[in-house]
Amino acid sequence: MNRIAQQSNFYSKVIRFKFIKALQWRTEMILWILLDIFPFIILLFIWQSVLSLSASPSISLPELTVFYYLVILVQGFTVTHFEEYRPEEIRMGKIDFFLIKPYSFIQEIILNDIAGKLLYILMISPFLALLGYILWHLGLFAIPALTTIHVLVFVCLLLLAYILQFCLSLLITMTAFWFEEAQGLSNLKILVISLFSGTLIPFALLPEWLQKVTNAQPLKFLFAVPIRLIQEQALPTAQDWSMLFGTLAFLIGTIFLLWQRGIQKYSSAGG
Amino acid sequence: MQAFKKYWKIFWRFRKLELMRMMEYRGDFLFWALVSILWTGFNFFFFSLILRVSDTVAGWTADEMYLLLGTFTLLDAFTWTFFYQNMQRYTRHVFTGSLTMLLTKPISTIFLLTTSSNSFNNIFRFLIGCAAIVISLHRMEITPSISSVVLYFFALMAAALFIYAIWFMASTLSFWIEKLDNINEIIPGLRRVMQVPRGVFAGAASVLFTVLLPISLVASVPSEILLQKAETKWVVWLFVSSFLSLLLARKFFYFAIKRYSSVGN
Repeated sequence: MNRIAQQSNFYSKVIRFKFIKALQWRTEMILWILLDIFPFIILLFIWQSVLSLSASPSISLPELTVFYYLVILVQGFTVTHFEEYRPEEIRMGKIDFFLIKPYSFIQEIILNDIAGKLLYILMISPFLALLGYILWHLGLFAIPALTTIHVLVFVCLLLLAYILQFCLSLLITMTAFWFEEAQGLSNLKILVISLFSGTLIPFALLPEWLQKVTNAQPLKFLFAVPIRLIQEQALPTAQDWSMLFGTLAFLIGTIFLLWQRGIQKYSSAGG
Repeated sequence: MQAFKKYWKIFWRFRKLELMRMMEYRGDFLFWALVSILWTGFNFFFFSLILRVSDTVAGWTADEMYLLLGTFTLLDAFTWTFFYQNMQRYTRHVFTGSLTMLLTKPISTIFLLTTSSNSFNNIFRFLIGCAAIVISLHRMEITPSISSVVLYFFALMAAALFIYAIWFMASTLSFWIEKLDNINEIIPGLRRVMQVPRGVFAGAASVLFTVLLPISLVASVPSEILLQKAETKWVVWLFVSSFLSLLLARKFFYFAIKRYSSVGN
């Protein structure tokens, strides 16, 4: 028990330190937030022009607004990007330090990302609240009627979506032990997620084949499932939960296997 | 004329060096070329999804939209080829203080900053853009006149110069803002505005994106020229705004450089 308390104390101290360190990039973070929100506003203009010329639109503008708002919210709370720079550390032989300390490279990535994510959530929340208020004021935003269960499941799904995103990023990072273009895989990750996780347009508007593909694989938990939970009050089925936990277990197992193999292969100048 | 020759020669020398670098990392080139092709395909696919909901976007039919996207793809491929790396290096030079080295060269600093690097990864995107334009025109049974094609290319050049100027100005802000590595993401972040017809924007947004910061004209106006529905005032404004923004970017750089300092200066 004492050991658990000690470990928790240690982790919270590291997260606090990383949080303070991340604060020095606050201006950059605000710019990222604005760059995340801006395309959403442009999409609203596009959809407005599309729907205004459509004789019998299959969806209303407020529904679309809520959908894209939820995309930004889920994205802000769950997306990870460390695979854009961490592989470089492995390739350049900069992880020696973690191999000789009782604090592994994976722990470093986890704690650093949690601190960064906490700061990002703190910073994006006022922007989201303001945006929601403006959209509500314009009559474009209707808050869906949700039960406590829906809210709790939504929060739970956000947390699991974050872990799933994190595992995918870590998996890409681990490939840097063998693959020179690991950073480039980050681009492919974003592309595949954008295509198959339900971020493009509301699920009902997707072509049938894409609906089937989205439904058949676990990337749907990143966006489609949490968003449908809010918009359609569709709770995930038992099959969905088993798919999600099965995927997470598989990814975590693969990551540790790759890590074990990777550090055996790892070499650096003087390392 | 002598100076122009000198700069022309240096420009192509840089391209040769970059080509040699690319040949050194052929796998890298192929990988990133594949990524850029996939993103282009994704972009077309996204708009095809929107066009499933309605036949038109701001009055533009599907074929007209694909022509617009083709034009945007050309511009985007060009800007990523020539601007992105250079602007990144530019801001890095300012942040690290290594700009001093460039300031002492017997050559225009702006030229050196914005032409020394490029990437070849977007060549295939460029070709996809061309193909989209040709196919769309063929499907609409439009045969543009030679004068339209010439004007289209001039409008594209003006659009590229406009993007260059505003990107350069955004990067020049790095003289005032420290630790802002994503400053070069501002202009790429506006790309969604360039991909849609200017008619999409109404009210204040229309004034902002077509008059004050006319980024919604950069792909729209050249496409309208090919579709023979361009309005003279917007064509003129695209050229004028490009010219003005270039002047402004240059003035802004020389104003900003006054506050530059680095260790040893």
